[in-house]
Amino acid sequence: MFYSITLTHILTLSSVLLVLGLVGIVLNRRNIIAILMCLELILLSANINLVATSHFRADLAGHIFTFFILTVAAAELAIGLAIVTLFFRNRGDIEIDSADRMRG
Amino acid sequence: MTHLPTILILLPLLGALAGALTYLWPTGAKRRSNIRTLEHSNIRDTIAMATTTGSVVLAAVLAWTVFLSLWLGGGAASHVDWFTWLNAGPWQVTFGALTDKLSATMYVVVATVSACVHVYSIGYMHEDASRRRFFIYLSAFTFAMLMLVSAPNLVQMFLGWEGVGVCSYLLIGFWHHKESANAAAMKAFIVNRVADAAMLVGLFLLLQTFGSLTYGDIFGQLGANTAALMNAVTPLFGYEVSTLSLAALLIFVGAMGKSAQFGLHTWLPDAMEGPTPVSALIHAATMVTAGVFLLCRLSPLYELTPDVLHIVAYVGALTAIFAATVGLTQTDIKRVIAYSTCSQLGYMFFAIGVSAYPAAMFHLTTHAFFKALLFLGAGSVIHAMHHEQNIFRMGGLKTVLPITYVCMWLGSLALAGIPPFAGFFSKDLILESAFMAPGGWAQPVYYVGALAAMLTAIYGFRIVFMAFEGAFMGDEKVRSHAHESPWVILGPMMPLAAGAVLAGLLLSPMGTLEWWQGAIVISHHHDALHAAHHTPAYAKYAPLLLAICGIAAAWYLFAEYRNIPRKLASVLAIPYAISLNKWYVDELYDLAVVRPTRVLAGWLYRFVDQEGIDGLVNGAADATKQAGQALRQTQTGHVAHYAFAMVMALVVGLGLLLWRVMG
Amino acid sequence: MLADILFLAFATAIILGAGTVVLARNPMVGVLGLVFTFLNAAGLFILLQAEFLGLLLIMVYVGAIAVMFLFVLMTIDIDFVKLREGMAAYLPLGAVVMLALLAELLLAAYAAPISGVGNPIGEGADTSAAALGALLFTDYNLPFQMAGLVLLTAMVGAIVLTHRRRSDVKRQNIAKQVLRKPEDSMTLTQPKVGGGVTASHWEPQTVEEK
Repeated sequence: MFYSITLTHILTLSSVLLVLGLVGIVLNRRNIIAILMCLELILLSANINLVATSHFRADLAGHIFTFFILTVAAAELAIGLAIVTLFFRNRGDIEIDSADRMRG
Repeated sequence: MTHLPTILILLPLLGALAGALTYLWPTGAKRRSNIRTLEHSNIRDTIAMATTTGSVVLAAVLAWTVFLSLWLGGGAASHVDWFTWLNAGPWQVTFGALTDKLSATMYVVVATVSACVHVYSIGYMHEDASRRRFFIYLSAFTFAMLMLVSAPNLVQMFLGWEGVGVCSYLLIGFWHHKESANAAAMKAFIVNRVADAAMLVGLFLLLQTFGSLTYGDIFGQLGANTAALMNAVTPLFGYEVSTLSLAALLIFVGAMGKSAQFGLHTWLPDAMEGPTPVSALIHAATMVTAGVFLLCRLSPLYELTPDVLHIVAYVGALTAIFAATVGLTQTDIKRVIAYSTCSQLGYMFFAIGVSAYPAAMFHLTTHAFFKALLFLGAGSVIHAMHHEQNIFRMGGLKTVLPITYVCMWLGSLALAGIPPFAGFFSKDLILESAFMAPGGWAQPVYYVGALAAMLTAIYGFRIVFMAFEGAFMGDEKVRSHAHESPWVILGPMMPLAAGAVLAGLLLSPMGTLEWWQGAIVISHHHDALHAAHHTPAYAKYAPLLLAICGIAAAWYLFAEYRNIPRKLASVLAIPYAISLNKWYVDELYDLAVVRPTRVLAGWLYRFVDQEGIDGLVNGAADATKQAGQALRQTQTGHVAHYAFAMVMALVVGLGLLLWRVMG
Repeated sequence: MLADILFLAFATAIILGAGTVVLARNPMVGVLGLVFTFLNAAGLFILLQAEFLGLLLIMVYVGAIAVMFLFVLMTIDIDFVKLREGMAAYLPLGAVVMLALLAELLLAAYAAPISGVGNPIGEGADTSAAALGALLFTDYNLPFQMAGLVLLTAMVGAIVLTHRRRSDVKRQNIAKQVLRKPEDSMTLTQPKVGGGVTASHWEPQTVEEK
């Protein structure tokens, strides 16, 4: 099917995606919505890894795990956005640095 | 017939359990009692008293049946196995009932006195709100005592031994609202614990030597390889000590504690804090004689350890004279009788010391009757005088308490050893045996015993004369209320009075070795008992003469010329002080043991517990707190920091993984 | 050959989309970048014979999650530009760490033993939704149920967190209405004949007193 593309190439793609997601978190470190979006990128990179490995090893288990990651990502996002809404309603902003009341 | 001993042992237990079951009866439901035997009684108390007293009376009847069938009916000693408690390889502990002349005699003594005391307590304790508890304890004690004497092995014996200790503790502290009663109960328990520790070591030594604690096994081995066992040695503090002697000595120390011999006697006078029936049953007739019984039971062992027997004799003689001198000056009627018990136990032990075990058992039996009688009589006086125990606040009571007066006379005559009362036969036999002990080594013991016999007569009749003769010395109001006790109190004293008069005559065969049918073994090397028949007349009658002199002196001093003792006390100030303060033994112990222990405990509390152990615990808590304080600084609350930590962990972790996989 | 070209196209698109998400000044643009990324990722999944997952990705991410992002963004009135201030403060440190991580990941991808193990799924292999379902409902049945519970929890949690009772809206309390009794709201009086009913005269009376 693939002529010259191997697992390594796809892993490279997912590595780049992961690092991009992390860089996004660093750059948008005050904007919680952007951070949530970058988290989705990170999870996607993991999914790509799993699906690719699954493909190259002819094992459906990777698909199953992707499925669960999708589920958890959806749940995480629902709660996360609910918290953002609540946070905004209470504080009037979504700046993440102002949420530091749990400090020791 | 073979199960009669089992039944008689278990009866008091069943009575106590049935009595205890009444506590399950809801207290809210106050039913009208139809059985109006006693005033203040409610039905639960009545049930408890009926089950306990009934079972013990029945046990007494059975005990006499067993005893008489063994003695007159020609029955043989029997042994019933109940169940095997421990089965540890070659060592087994099988509970059961060994019924020979020795235990049958004890059945009779224990069950009879206990039955009398139970009935007596119905009258004596009728004002007490928690008398139900009292009766249950009494029956439980009776069961434990019967277990002790019926045991076929030393383990069951020890179980009974500790059982009577616990019941004694509970009964001394029965009036637990009195602080002195609590202190006395604890003292009795702790002093006995010291003795029991020694005894346990002795039992372990026997177990190690014989591989069994069953009497039959031990005596069998003693008979089979006597020489080897007598040469066996045990290392002790760098010396080699004869194993048998050491074991016998340690068990004797245990017996000293239970039987209040000099050194470990301090708990017995204090135990008089308990109700008087308890003093009569436990601290006069039965429990305190357990040590004598045990040594008689182990006579085959003690016969092989003459050196220990000498110690027993000297300790017994010392106790006899010590307690007699102290008894002279005490003012509390019960304490005088308690010291007299101590003294009489001393007689029994020196009888054992000269190998006259039958004489010791004989004296044990007669003593149980007349001493219980004296205590119950004293209880009757105390009851009539509204809990006045000081004989210097009594006097002239013979018109008020005529029946009690007669009983006290009978008991005191028996105690003083005047024929034909019970004490004469047994005490005489003991003194003669001491005089005639082979080699004459025990003659000093004889002289001490004879002197103690005179003192016994003096202090015995001092009570009688101070309380019943002369003029009344107490509060007039008390005297006007004083009255003869009801028959439920006087009744149980009658069998005991009969025993005090007749036991010596009727049971005199007890004083011979043959009567015991092998339950007691005496080596023919020191057969003092046999030689006692050939006692010279002066030695035979000197104690009697001394006792009569003692009674006469008591009459002179305490009935006729009551101011002479006071003058004597001021002239002989130092001996008087020593006697009055019980030879300062309590003070010595306080100084030598109690105070250093307190100081040590205080020091340990202050420095080891508070600073050492608490410091350790608090230090651990403090360290945790400090660590937490330091660590909480790392929790900045900024999400970015946590995220950075996670990423760094990922970088470092992945780096390590790669390094390990590829490097 | 076609597959290789398609992979390269999808990969490039994914990187571009992700870059948009990371760098977008306007979060709206960011969300659209996210949608674009996920669409291409779905294409990649289908290329890797994970058709079901690819479609699921479109449905879940594009259909639900992206919409949810947009929804939240629109309800929140905030100056997103201000949030980007001081954005580059941690960039030097971040860049070093990120480059290190990327290097490690690439090292792992290229040199570690996992690469080169190739046993691709053949042409006729069954990777359909049916095959996935057969696995999911048998071997992974319990985790599957747990996933359902996770979603339920998330749903309930989101509702609990965001739901609020407004005090300025009148509501109907049916239970209260049903339980109303005459004595709660009615007073029986006996006015004097000819006196009329006046305020001074009127006293509330309970039925029990009658």
